[in-house]
Amino acid sequence: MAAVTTNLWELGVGSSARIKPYNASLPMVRRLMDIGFTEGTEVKCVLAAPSGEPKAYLVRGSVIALRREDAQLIETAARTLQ
Amino acid sequence: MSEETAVLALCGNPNVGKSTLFNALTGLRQHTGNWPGKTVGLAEGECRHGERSYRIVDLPGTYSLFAHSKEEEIARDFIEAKNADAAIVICDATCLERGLNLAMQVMSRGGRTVICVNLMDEAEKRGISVDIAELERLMGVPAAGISARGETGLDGLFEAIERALDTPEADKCDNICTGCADCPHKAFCIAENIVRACVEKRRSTGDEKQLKIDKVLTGKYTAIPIMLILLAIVFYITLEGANYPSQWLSALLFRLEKPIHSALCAIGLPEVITAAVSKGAYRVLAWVVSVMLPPMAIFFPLFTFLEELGYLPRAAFNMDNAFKKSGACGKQALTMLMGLGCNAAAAVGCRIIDSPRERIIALVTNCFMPCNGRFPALIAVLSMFFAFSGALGGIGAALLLTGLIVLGVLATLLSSRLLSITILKGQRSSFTLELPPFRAPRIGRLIVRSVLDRTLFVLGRAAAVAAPAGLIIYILANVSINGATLLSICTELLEPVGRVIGLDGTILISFVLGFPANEIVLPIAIMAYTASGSLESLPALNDMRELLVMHGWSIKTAVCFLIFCLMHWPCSTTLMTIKKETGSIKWTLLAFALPTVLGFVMCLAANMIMTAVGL
Repeated sequence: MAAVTTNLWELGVGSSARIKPYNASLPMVRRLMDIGFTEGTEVKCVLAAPSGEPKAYLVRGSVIALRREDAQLIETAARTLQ
Repeated sequence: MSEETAVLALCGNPNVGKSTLFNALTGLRQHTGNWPGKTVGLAEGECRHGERSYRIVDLPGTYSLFAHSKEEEIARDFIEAKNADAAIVICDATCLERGLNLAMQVMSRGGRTVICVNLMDEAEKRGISVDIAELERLMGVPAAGISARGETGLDGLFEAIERALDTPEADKCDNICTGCADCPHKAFCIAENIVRACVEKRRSTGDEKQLKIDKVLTGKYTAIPIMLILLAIVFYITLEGANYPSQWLSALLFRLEKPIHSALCAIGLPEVITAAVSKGAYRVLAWVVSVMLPPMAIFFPLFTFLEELGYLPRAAFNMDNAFKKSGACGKQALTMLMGLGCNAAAAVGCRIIDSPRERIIALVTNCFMPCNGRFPALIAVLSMFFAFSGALGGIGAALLLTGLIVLGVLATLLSSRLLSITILKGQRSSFTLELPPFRAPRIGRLIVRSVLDRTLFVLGRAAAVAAPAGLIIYILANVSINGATLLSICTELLEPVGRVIGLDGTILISFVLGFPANEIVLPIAIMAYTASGSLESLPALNDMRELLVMHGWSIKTAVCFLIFCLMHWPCSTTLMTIKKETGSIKWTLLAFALPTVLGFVMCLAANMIMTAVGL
């Protein structure tokens, strides 16, 4: 059960992960924080658009769609399943 | 009296039912007010409760006060300017943490704050209960739990507002949110603790079913077909449903033409004026009302239904990748769909797009979506020239109309791409889109609101333009210079241009005169063709087809008319809105030129291809 660093975009539909600590330097990251993607939060990828992008994430009770570049900004500690 | 009126600002995240609460509180006593600082209109309304009267201002939905988008800037400036006696922060009971983050930011600006937890009923259904008293104690400001849709808990809300107003205005926040408003990590930590203390989550069901539906609506092989089928169904219902009321209205209104003419004669007006008014102004007005009112009265509620259900964000989610590849914002899919209702309203809606570059792309490409004013002409020409017989006729026309919309979407994507690699080059901006839970629309209220807010508004605007336009065309058709009427001089002038693109001078002049409102294009063309005055009433579809064919229409003309109707200059209201939204003549001119040039090119190409294959 080792934890490896990855990012939100790498989450497959149906899997979840916890957000790693980060600093809001980019305006986009600040925006994601205001929506609720803050450190330590459990996030689940619930949907992907027909073309595979964007993906939608369940965070703090609401579903938010993100594009690849934005989702890649947020690092997560993925729990590797056996 | 008026000095006792307290001003309340409603703020909150998008999709928390802010507007529902606003409507519940103010009913129909609403108008658009201008506030100092920004030249932007905010919806406001009055309401009374007990001894007190309130003025309520509806601020745009926002996730934070750190302005990322134009809408958030508006909300932040309003809060910071201390325009309101109290700010009411509306939170969603089913995701309270995010609402509390905003509440803390509002509280840190000083002033009086009330926390209003909405969607208590929905939360209850999903097994979530919120302890309002505990929330109030922990946040340190008055709080109330309501259900804006069911209009329950409003007394408690007013009681909380009164308690807030009876306390002196806080200078600076000295409670829980000190030092955390600028750091969402901290703010969300505090919010999480508060939520843990006052929210009880018994079970987490209900979400599974929503997710299953969403999986189908956004599925790899199902998403696009479902979008097209929904669109076709909406068009089919509109077409079929509008058919008989239109005929009935037309018959009724045209029976009134003679009495109006006689009445005008009876009060002693000269024949020149009575004829111009009854045969010019009134006839076009009657046409516009009978042709427009029924489809609008059906289309707008259907569209609002999909909107309230929460389908539009799903459609935007599905289409986002296409917009990304065109260098545009995914939310442009939303504003594009809004254009189906009214392009001017969609232009205002473009405020939801954060980046100025992407907002301009959305603004200048919006008119490729035919608005409601263009539907009747599209439907009429489709049914006249491409009609299938019998029961299949309606379905065929609905499918063709859907095809036209797809063409409009392609034009939108293509021109967005073109703009983003030429004059609107720039950094791709970030994009977040919330997919709110599906909410069953309340049909009664939906019909009332879509008829009052949209149908009557659009119809009123069209009617206001139709009568003078009818008058002008009548004058043009009846005033002669050297034996030729002004109308024939104008049409002959435009004839060569029209011919090249598969149309004729009359159609072009109709589009020119239809600049104030697209609704009147076809009626004007009919008026111009029948300018001799041989026609006593407006023709039924079959006779209309004969009339058009008599004046040289063929399948080619019909196809080019459909293309040109889809792609030409936006109406004057839309252009004025674009000017207001961009504050720039340059972008307004671009919004005029882009669809016009594309329309000419497309019509020219279509005409040449069809001529080549011998149509």
